[in-house]
Amino acid sequence: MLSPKTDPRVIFLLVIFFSTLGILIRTDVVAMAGLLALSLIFSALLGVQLRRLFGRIKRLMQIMVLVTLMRSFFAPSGIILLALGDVPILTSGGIAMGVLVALRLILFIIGAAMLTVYPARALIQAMVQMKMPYEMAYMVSIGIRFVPQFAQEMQDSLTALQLRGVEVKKLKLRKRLGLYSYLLLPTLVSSLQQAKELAMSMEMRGFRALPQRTSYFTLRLTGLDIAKMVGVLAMAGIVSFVTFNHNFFEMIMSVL
Amino acid sequence: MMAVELRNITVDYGKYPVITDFSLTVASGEAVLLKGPSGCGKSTLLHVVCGLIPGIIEADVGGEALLFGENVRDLDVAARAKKIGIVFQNPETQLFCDSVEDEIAFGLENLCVPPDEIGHRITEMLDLVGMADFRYASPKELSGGQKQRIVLAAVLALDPQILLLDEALSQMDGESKGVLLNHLCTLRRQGKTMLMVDHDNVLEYIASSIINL
Repeated sequence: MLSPKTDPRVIFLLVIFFSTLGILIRTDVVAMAGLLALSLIFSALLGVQLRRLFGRIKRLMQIMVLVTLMRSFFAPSGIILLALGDVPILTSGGIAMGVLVALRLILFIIGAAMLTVYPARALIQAMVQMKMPYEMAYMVSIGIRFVPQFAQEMQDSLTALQLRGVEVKKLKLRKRLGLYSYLLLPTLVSSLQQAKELAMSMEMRGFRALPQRTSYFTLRLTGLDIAKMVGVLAMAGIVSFVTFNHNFFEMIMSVL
Repeated sequence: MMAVELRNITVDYGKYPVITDFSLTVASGEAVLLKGPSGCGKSTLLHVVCGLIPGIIEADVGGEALLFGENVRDLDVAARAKKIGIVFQNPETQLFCDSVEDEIAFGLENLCVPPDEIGHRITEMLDLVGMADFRYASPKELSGGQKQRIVLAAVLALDPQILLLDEALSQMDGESKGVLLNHLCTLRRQGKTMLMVDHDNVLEYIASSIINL
């Protein structure tokens, strides 16, 4: 089965499958929930720290509530569960859409988390060996690296403010938003400066000097990895067939 | 032929010129130490020598910077990487790989050095900077001085003809500095050209000439 020793290209294939299907499922909440359950099983096998992941996912509840209310108000469908006069506030269609959007986002987060069990070098090498230009592979990897760095810088700036006596948590929302906007620009400038310095260092060490480059670290697909890839493709075919062929269950029932 | 030749260099970032009409020649095998107060343009000069100004860093530049007789602006990235190695001030923004080993391999891979040779050079460079035990460690876990040693190893692995050191030993402890100074002395004896910037007096021991800006 899958484990962190599996070639990252197998996991790329798996993540592509989950994300593509996550986009293609437009209304079927049950299918999305099934897909999510499947992705959770695979991520557990890969050693993704699910408990930590759930902590982040909790924040998506706000998005789910927002989508539910907006969908109920602007495009009401299904049974009206709550209304203000003639204006629907909560509908069953709205709830379904809110849940679907939340499940889709969770699916994407889990897909991304599956890749985090590998070091960036392994992911870059996998992309390069999948014939992606190495410049692009590095760009993706370094771009991802800057996201937590940016968050850390923002946090550092907030801590510095708190040390000067500003109690950010006690500020009113409006003032707090104003504060964030003041901090955002210098943090952004600092991140851009760091990115520039990194680019200079990379260029001086010959990055993009030649159209090709050698690799000290290479990935080798084993027979088992190929078998896993075939397994993922087969699973993708079956799940897609079951999801999109609405007559499938009726067909099974008629056969039985 | 001179390894580095700066002819009437003027650099202006927009408000006022940082360097005005500065000329310098560094013969092959010479080690020149640039000294001066903060903001006097020492680092800017190194950036001009390696072509980052005006290539990547925007500035109005007058004059010419020649490396072994060729204008640095006419050199492509590969030629520049083989001729010049630069260690910048801040090690944090020069390390971006998952492991120390990858960090040293990065430049060598860019220059299409065969993998076996890369392995040998990694071992050699890590021994040289005294970081052999950290080969598979993440650079994020290292101290400032250790990071500087890794950056230096990554640059030295490329075996450039000219070595530019911008306060490259500033965060190292005394013992590490001693070991690396010994190695820099050896490199100088072997004919490596060096242009160094430092506030410390420690690099004076290996400098063949000192220029106060």
